[in-house]
Parts: sequence; structure tokens; C-alpha cells
Amino acid sequence: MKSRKSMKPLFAAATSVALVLGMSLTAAPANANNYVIGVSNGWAGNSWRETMVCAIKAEATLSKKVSKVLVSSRNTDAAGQSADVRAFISQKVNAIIINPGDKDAINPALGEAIKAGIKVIAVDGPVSAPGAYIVSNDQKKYGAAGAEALAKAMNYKGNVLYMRGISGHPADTLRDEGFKSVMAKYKNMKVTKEVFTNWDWAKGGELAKQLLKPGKFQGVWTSGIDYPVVEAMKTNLRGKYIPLVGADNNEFLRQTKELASKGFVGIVVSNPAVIGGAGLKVALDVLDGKTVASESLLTPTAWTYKANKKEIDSSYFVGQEATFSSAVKIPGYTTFSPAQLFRCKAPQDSDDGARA
Amino acid sequence: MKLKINRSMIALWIILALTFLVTGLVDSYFFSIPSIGITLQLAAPLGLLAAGQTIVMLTGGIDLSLAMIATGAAYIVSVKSESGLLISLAYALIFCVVVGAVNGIAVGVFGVNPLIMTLSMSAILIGVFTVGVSTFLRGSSRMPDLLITASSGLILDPITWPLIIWIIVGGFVHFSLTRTGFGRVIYAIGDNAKAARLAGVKVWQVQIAVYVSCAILGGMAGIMLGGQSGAVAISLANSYLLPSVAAVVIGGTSIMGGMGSYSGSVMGALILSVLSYLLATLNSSEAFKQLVYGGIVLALAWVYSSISERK
Repeated sequence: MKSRKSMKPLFAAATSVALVLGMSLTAAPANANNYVIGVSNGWAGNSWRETMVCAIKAEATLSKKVSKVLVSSRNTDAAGQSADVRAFISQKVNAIIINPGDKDAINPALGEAIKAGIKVIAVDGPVSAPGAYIVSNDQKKYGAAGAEALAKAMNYKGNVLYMRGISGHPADTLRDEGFKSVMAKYKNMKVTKEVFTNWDWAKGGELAKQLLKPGKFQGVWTSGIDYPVVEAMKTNLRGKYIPLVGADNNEFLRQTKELASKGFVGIVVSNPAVIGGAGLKVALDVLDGKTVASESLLTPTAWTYKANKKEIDSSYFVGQEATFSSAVKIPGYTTFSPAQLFRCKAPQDSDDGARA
Repeated sequence: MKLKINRSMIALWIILALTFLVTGLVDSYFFSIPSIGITLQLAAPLGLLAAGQTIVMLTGGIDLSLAMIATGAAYIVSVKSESGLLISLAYALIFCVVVGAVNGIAVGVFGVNPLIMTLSMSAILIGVFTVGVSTFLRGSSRMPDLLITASSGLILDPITWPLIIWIIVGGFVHFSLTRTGFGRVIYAIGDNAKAARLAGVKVWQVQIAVYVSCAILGGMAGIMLGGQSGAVAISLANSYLLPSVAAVVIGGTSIMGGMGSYSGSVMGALILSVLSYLLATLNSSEAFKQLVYGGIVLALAWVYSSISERK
């Protein structure tokens, strides 16, 4: 009994705190230079995704149009992301940037948001909710760009080890379409082995060590699990490198640079994590009433050290970790410098003076 | 008792021989000496993880934070290697000891369920490293060349450095479990913790030592995995957590504790590695491969338990 009595003032205090908090949130002004942006990321602890969120924060700070970026970054599924979206609706955000874990399953929540006048921008992957904007790398062209460069590096003949991502994942399916459309053009090239790495570094490395045998393949295409495959070439092929398609991972850029003199041809296909910044740019354009296409697709580039020495040299960051997505700018979309990106500060915790 | 263990080991040898033969029939290159060397090299980190898991499971516990401990140790070594290899290894060792001790104290002193404790620890470590990557652990996560050699370097086909390390460390674990007092109290606690305590064993101290040893073995495995990849991602060892438990269970260690051996876990790790090679070479759909993997692991556990229960 006693404890119940003592709970009363505590409860009252908690209620009033909640009320004040609620009021301050609902009072968030929605005028043109004070937007509140909600970000839902369903995969925490992943370098690429962290950079994506940092890009949103950095671009928001520089835009001077955003007062707050609210981030929900956790390991969750469509149900969890739907809960995030609904929380953002009750917090009266102006726009939601979401990296969707599912194309369809989050639609009911996104529909509620759109109905409430909130702009929804899906980055990296699509959602099918009507009225949502999509900002994504063109995954079909991603598959094709790497394949085209690989074909050239292999002199349009030989056997390819084809290392995909996750079976059934939308991006993997699109990349596969692009890859196979190029392979079909070259009669002397053949995919003799197709495996899934599940975008897992250790599994990708293990598969490469199990499959790479001297003379069996003349080239390898990976869906971004690249640098362990180079290690496997060192052990299995005793340094007789064959061309390899990877992504803009920092360590792969280093290998592409440093092993070029030993005959290694690394093909770096861009899959920029800073696409989050492009998502923010689109969100602001929509909020400002500009006409924006419902789908913005970025065209990936395929670099080799021979042809793009300058780009690769300037994209490699010595002090960044191996899986860091090295493409740190998207022309026409992002404006931050690498240093501003690395600081990873949102307007509300920034000392850039953006809100001054 | 002795006879029972021998019979199970024979069964494990037969299973290993069968998977080896089937794999060789599917891909004849598997029988070549370099290929055997690579399979053993890939089995080494799994064998070390299984060593840690064996020690913990013999006490009736489990360590679900093992994969994150492995990843964490590897990440620390890679990022701190600029200040010297030994210093970076020392940092990783401190990390393993601290995390292992926290697990051990929670389980041994406060009686937290090992499953819950280590699962929470894993989640905490994911959080710490996610933040760490862009703050106190920022830097190149490339592995130092010496550790890359120690993790995948060839001595003389099919003998590689990781195999040698595995044999030495694994031999030490096997010796500790079978020939020392520490080993005997581990079995005693797993068999009946209350009886062990009444017999004068300081159970909590043993628990702490067990989780610390497990974490150190996990750290070694993580560094080896990092070396084999060339660089470390913060998801490095994730996919090794379940195989580390599976290797121990296939090897006949009871998840209730008190029964089993590291030699069984070694067989489990070898069988899983050959199986993994087999699945990699099969030209079938990913879903089918998962089905085969799960089915074989289940069948092995069943075959083993039915053999060891027979008098």
C-alpha cells in the first residue's frame, strides 16, 4: 500500500514530463526553414548503413533548412520499421527517409504517413507505397557496369566465378538481370560457377578459398564482397591474379591501387552509402514544392586503376576501416566534404552554426 | 564409460570419412593436397571457437557472445596495429579477459542464466563496436601482414600456419581438460554444480576462468578469421556462432554439461568444414543447400546421441 502511495507523485511527475515533451514535439514548427526529418534504418552495426545515416545528418546540417534529424537505427524487420514510421507520424515530422527492409510490408504505415502530409523517401531500396519517392542506385546497371568492365579485362573470353549477394533479395535480383544481360552478349564468356555470399565477408572469403583453383576461372564478379577474394587469390592462385569486380569498399580500393603493379585488375563499381544525403536533398526539394521525379536512380560507375587512377587515389581513405564506402560524394545531390561526413552531426547536435 | 567414448569417436571418424569421400566424388580436386590444406586452414578458426564453446558447454553453459568477442578482438588488433603488433595484441587480450570475466561473474556469482547473459553481452558488444568504429576505434581495419601469414600462410602443402597454431592451442585445451585439476572441476561442475561446491570446489572462480578462457580462444579465432579475410568488418565472425555450437554438439558434448571432449569437437569442426566445401561445390539452389546443411547437422546429432546412449 505504502509503495502505491509513494508512486503517486512520481506518476504525476512522469505525466507532466510526458505532456511537456509531447507539447514541445507537437509544437515543432513546420515552416520552410525548420523541417524535422525522421530516419528509419533497419540494420544497425553495419558500416555502410552508418555512413548512410551520417550523410543524411551532414547534408541536413549544411542545408540550413532542417532543425532536427530524428534517427531510429536498430536491427529490426518490417513490423519494427512500421512502428518507427508511426512514431515519426506522432512526432509530426515533415519527411521520413527510410531504408526499407521490405518493398511492400511497410506500406500501410507509410500510407498513413503520406495521408498525414508527410513526405516519404525510400533510399537504397524501393517501396511500393503510392506517393513515396525512391532514391536508389540503379542496381541493374550496377550488375551490368561491372560485367562490362570484367568482360573487357578478360578480353571477352573465359570462365567467370559469379559471387552474388543474398538469394531473393531485390537488389541481388536486379544486379543479376544486369549482369546476365551483358554475359549473354559475349559468346566466349561463361559463368561456370554461381554462389551466394549472403553479403557476409567471412563466408565470401571462405567460398573464394574453396572455389578458386589455378586455371579454373579467368575472372570473378562479386556483389561487393571483394577484398577477402583478393586474399584468396594470394593463397590459392599463389599470386597469379585474375580480374575481380568489387564495390567501392576502402580496402578493395587499396588492393586495386597496390596490386596493380603485380598484374591485378580490380574493378570498383560504385554503390555510395552517401545516397542518404541524396535522399535528404530529394526530401527538401519535395518539401520546398519543387517537382521531383518519383524515382531517382543513380548510375553506377566502374573504375579500374589503369583508366581511373585519379578517382581511385582520391577516393581511398587511409584512416577509414575496410568496409567503408569510399564514394563520398554524389554530384548534383550531396554538398558535404569528407570531413563533414565523418563528423556525423545532425543540426540539433552540430556546432557548425547551421541553426544560428 | 571408456568404451562408450571410443565407440562415438569411431562413429565420428566414419562420418568424417564418408563426407570426405562424397565431397571428393562431387569435386575430384578436393582430394588434391592444396585443397586439403585449404580445408584444414578454414577449419582452424572454427576449431578454436569450438574449443571455447566446448569448455563453457562442459560446465553446462553456452557463450552466444563468442562471435562478437572474436570480431571485437580482431577489430581491435587491426585498428590498433599502427601502435605496434604486441600492443595491439595486448589490447585484444585485455578486451577478451574483461568481457569473459563479466560473463563469468554474471553467471558464476550472480547466477544469471548463461544464455541470457551472453546473448545480452553480444548485443552490448554490437552497440559498442558500432559506435566505436566512428569514434574510439576509428582507423584502418586492415590486418598486419604478420597476422595474415599466421592465419593463412603456407609452410609446406598441406601444412599451414593456422593449422600449426590450432594443433598447439587445441592440444593445450585437450591436455587441460583431460590431465589437469582444472579440467576435472569443469566436468564436475557440469555434472553436478551443487555436489562440486559441497566437495569444496569454488564454483564461481572456475566459472570465471572458464568464460575468460573461452573469450581468449574466441579472440584467437577472430584474429585468424580477420587474417584470412585480410581486413576486419564488424560483422566478421557472425556466421560462425551457430557452427561453433554445432561442432561441439556433433562432437558429442552434452549441452547439459559434464559429458564430452574437445577431441569430439575437433571432429565436429572438421566434419562441418568438409560439409561446407561440399555445399560450396554443389551446383544447386541456395535454399536446397541450407536444407542439406540443416538436415545433416540434425542427423549427426541424432546418430551421435543414439550411439552414446546405447550400453
